[in-house]
Amino acid sequence: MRSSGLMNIAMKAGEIMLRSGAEIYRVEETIVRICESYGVRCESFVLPTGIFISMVDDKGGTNTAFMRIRDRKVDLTSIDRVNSLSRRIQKLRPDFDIVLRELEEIDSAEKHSFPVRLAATGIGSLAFTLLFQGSLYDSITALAIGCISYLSKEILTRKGLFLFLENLLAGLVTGFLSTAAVNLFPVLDGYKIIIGSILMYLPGVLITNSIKDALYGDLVASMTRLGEAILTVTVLVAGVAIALLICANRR
Amino acid sequence: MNELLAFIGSFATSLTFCIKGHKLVFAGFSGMVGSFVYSVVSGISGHSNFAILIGAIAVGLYSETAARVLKAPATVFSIPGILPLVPGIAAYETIQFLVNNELISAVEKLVETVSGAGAIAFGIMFVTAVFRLLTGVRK
Repeated sequence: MRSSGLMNIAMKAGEIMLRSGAEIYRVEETIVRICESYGVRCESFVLPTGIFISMVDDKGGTNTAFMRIRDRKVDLTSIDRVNSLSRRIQKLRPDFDIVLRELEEIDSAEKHSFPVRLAATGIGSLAFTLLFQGSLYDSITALAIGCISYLSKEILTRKGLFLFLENLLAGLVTGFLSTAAVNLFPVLDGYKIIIGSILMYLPGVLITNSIKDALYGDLVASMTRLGEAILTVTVLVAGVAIALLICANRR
Repeated sequence: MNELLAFIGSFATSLTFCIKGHKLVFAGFSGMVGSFVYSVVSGISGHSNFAILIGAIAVGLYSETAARVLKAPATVFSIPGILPLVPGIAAYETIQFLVNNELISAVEKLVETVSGAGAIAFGIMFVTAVFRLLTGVRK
């Protein structure tokens, strides 16, 4: 079956891209590009939570498939690799098996390990605290707090509870720890520490994608992603606010 | 000095976004460009939201160019690049005023935060639209 093999690779490519946080137009374009490289007419309709592909075969019948996307993460390398793979398909038209194997390899490729991401969060918090005119002591505290809050967020993410709970926790941990640090060492500047460590959790990908989706006319995706971004920020900030409120009242 | 910090910050965030290899360095440069333009413009005009807008446009220009040279999606460079521009201090002060129950001041700071975020969004949007127009004409 020629068209089912093609459907497989088109769906797999779309799935990897959407799950890694690609813009909607990019997913749709990639699917259409793959199908048209093999001379098959195709329409794709992508939502942030699902993919629909409909192909027209030689006899004029349509072949449709859809897939529900449940988990989403941020993995810009996978998007990049599927994108360049689809351009290579356009030029070389390799066999479906080869493409499918490469897609599976992209899907299972080694991501940055947890210690690397933990260190990156810490160093990022340090750099951003310094950028917001924090002192050296502030930034070292932010490094420690950033690492601890990322660790607690990661534990909650692995448990797979609610979507926004992990951000609430990250905000709470950051708020409590920085207030505690300021109470212990009054030289520290609490707000610079909080800004520096919170900045790492801002939904930059969601906001950027939401803008790009709006520009390309994918209004449904744009609004849902904007909503998700606003919810994420609100929850994060609410975590910090709750922590500050409790600490302020105890004083 | 600030530019170096922005570089480190953007580099570190790109690691958490699973960017790999030499693209990490270019993502870091994106933050550096944005932060440099921001500090120059805010030094001249003294208007922080305007400086954020110009900074975001610079990040957008850099990322679209880097995307075409390095053959990678523009978001790889723009997402880490805008982070140093985020109006973090205004956002924090909003929370602080809310916690202290000073609602009028909180709204004032909230507007400042939202307009800063809007300036980033508009900057990126503007550059993407212009680049799309140009490549569309070339076809």
